Amino acid sequence: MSSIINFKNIFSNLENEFYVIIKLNPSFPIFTKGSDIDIFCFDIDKVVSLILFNLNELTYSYKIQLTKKNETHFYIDILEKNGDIYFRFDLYSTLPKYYNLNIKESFFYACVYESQKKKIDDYFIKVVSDENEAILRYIEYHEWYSSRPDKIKHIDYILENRLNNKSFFDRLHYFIAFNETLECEKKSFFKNWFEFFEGYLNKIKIVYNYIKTRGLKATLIKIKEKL
Amino acid sequence: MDRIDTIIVWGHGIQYLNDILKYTDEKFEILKVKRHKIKNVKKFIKDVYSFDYAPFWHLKDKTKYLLKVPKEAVFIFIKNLNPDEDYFGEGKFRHKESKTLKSFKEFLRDKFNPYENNKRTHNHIIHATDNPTQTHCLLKLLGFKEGIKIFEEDKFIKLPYYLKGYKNFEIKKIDMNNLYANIVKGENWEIFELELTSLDKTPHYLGIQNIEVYQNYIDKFLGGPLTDYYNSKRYQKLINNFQYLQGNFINNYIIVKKIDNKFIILDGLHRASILYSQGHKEIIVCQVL
Repeated sequence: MSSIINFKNIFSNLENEFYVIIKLNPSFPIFTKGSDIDIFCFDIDKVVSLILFNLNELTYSYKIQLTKKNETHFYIDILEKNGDIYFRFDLYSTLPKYYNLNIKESFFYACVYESQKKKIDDYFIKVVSDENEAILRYIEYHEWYSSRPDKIKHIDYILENRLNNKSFFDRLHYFIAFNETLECEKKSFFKNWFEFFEGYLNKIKIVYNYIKTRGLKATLIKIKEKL
Repeated sequence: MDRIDTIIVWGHGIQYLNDILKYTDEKFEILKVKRHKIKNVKKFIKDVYSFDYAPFWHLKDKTKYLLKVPKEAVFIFIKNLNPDEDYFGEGKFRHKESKTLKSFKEFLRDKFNPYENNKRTHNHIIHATDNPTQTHCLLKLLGFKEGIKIFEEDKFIKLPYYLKGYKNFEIKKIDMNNLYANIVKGENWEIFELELTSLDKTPHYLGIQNIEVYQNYIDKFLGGPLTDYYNSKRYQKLINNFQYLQGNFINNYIIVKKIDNKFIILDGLHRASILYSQGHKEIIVCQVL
């Protein structure tokens, strides 16, 4: 999809900021509808405001939504008038929470400081170094492979690009530790029921938030799609 | 490094409030002005001075005169951009204080304190804090539970403290004829109500043509329902220099909330009024969701 988003202006304005794009799709700036771009940055408030500023011109034909997930995680959605996501900027000022791995906080800073410039047409963007990219992809694979077998693509990427060298393993072992495996415990009757209700409560919360942000019609369409 | 301080204008100094605000505005950034009716004078004085370095018994005689002045006080919260801190006092009373604020306090006392036989009395019309912790405690005393944190603004989009809880926003272009604001109507800063008013009927918009309308509105309600400091001079300056979402203000969106298909301005009424007077039909706003 050829973009109506002025990436050149956005990333030129971010030139003096400490940021790095991770897991960038090789076809960027061409993307499919619904794609996103993940950005690690130090001054997230400033990066958010600079991106928003460059999206003001899109308000004629798109909705621009900003969501503050927490102090260190924001996303900016460019939505079509019917509520479909056209593109998303996913911004972090600390590492995202991973449950199956312990990652040293310093890895976040390493990613940002060791960024490399990539030329896109007549402007530059800052992307993560090949070594850090490999580690991030490995983390992503390890975090999700049990529920998302397609995440094997990250391992394929590492192998195809011959990133599985000694330096990769050295860095990997420096920055991460595996969580201890716990013995399985048989869940009590009450725990089972609690989890059952908790699951439904979460679903209600998701639907409520969806109605609040996108409206009832879009929510019903989404539910229909899921069914 | 800047810090937040408070100047308290006691009852007998309120007659000079406009002048005090004018001088303060020249020296510091005024963040908030809050008028306060005092129910129990003794308790209030004790509460205010309990945050002081000196023990209260030492201040008791010094504050006796406050029992006889009108039972009202105005709190002016300021950003002290150049505190120039130093140590003052001896022994137990030695403490750090802003030299800038200390000299300004004396300036105001010289100007407005009562005089007897051509000599300035100690019936001070103002009190000023020695450090930001005292300001924090005073804010809590006035009912601002978060204390000094109320002045911390979100920076991704410039949001005033009373909108800090919002997490979902939409940047959109809207028709200016659909903009409304809650305007204060009533007799004075104590007896009032809020009335939803279309932008073109607000004192802020009407004040661009006739600044007296705006100044009367501010004079009537400042310190009560209106706690953000504004005056006609400041507004005139904004009118002359205003550029929306430009330069250092790219994230200073006008903040609105949509209720019954009306966009209610939560922050940015002055800016919206200026844009409307400039002939804009549509503007980009940030809608809280």
